[in-house]
Amino acid sequence: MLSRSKFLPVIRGIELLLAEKRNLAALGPHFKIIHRFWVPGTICLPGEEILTALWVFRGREIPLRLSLSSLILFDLLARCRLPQSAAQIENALRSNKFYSRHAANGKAGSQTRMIKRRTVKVFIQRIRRELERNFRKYGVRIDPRAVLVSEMSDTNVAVYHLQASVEWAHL
Amino acid sequence: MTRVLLIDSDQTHAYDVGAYLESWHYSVNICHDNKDAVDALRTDRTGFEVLLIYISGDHHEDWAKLDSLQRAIKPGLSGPGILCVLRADKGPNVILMAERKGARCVIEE
Repeated sequence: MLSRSKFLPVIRGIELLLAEKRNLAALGPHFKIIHRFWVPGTICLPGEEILTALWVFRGREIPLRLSLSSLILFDLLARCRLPQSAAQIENALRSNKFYSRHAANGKAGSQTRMIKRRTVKVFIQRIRRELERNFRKYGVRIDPRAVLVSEMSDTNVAVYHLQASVEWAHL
Repeated sequence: MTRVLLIDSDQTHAYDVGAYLESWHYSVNICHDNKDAVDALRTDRTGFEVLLIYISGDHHEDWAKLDSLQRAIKPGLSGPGILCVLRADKGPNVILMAERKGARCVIEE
């Protein structure tokens, strides 16, 4: 057994991989969403801007190249983990002042994007494409459809949710 | 029991590693070439949790093998993790290359 101790780093490597795999299966990949134009002492209030979303992978923060509309949709799905239909997403974006007054704290004023229910599917596909591009680039075999999940409801309406862990940071 | 697919062209060494992993209660399948490993990945129904691939660190062939293994893994959140193992230290670039390809890398002591 002593002469085989040279294989111990292999065991440690396997244990680390298994821990990473369990974490990924339970929580999904990890993302960080950066908000700016925040008022110190507050958090995620109307007027802030969603600056970017980053995929955090093995110590790297990889920016996702998403349009403002896709960023807004990604932020909404990250906040509300419950499955939502396109109609519910449109309603949430219209009703929530964080999105209707997006970036209003900046000098240029509010920059909002209202996603209509019929275009939700298009933005979902765009986000998935960007996730897939990054997963492929870093050699990770994650199906973006397992991260940005769509399922059919009992009345055959697609509902969407994000299977990921997310943190927010404020600049 | 965690299932490990071990890919090592050195048969004697592969059996040593396999026996050691089994002493740690891992279930080990050994393949001596990449083609068998790809076939094993495609046909196995229960799924491996870890792919353990011994690489020399000297050849482009290593990375081509790694790419073909990656392609054989079904995308998802529960696919196997890949661990590249070097039998000697070949410097940080080899480890970085393995990480760039989504694998982790360790060196036998």
